[in-house]
Amino acid sequence: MLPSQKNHEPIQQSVHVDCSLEDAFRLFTDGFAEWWPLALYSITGAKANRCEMEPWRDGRVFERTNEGEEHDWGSVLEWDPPKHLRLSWHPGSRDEGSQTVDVEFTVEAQGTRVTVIHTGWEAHGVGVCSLQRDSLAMWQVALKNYFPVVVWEQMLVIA
Amino acid sequence: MANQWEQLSTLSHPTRQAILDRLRDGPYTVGELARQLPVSRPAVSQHLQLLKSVGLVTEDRRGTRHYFQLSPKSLAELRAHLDSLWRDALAAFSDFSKKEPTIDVAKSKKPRTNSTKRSR
Repeated sequence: MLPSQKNHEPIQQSVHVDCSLEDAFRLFTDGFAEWWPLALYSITGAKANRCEMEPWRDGRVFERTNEGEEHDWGSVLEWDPPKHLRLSWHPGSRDEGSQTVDVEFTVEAQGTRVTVIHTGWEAHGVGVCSLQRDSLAMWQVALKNYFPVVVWEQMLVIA
Repeated sequence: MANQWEQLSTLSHPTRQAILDRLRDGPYTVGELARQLPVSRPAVSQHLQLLKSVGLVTEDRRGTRHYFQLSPKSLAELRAHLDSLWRDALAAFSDFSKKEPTIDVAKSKKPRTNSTKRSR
């Protein structure tokens, strides 16, 4: 392993929610399909129909396309309601190795803080990055197969 | 054009990932990389050129030797992408939690400890 460098440190993001620890954990896991911004982040872009987290240890996290194909994002490695959840994270890749996403739920004033810590992204970052950021990226993927680069670049400029 | 999508799809090849893993230790020449990987020297060279073309790897010449190294900029871009991903995801989760019936912590901390169902 390399010595720690700023660029390699885990990704950490958190948010406050106005509900109890138990509710926050339940909504995050049981409600995953309903809150995940699938239009922004998915493997299959416009074809993505739904994503799921099976709410138990060893449960799968995956997305399903309109045609019913399933693509794994990862699986539940640790299931400690209502405080902690650990996922393996490798969307779009079979490599189950090095990436993990920890979700921590802690009590704070007026509610719960939900913190996501994404580790190992720098080693096989492609996994998570197969979740495209936006429709522009999806258009690029779709058009790439049909048009020479110059043409779709022009189309994007026009759009 | 070294856009993000190209960078990411370029990464998704086992040999290229293996090369990037090695480069995390520092700069290497094609020959040094080929000795560490189960692929031929021309293949390593080809993968490196592709990684270079999308901006993931840079090439430096030291005397007669060419060293390849990770581009710090591309790692920073990957990091920025993931920061946005989780920020957007958590913002979406926060919005969702406001719409769902939950036990309101602020209210439930009042003297009466009965759960107060909230529905908006």
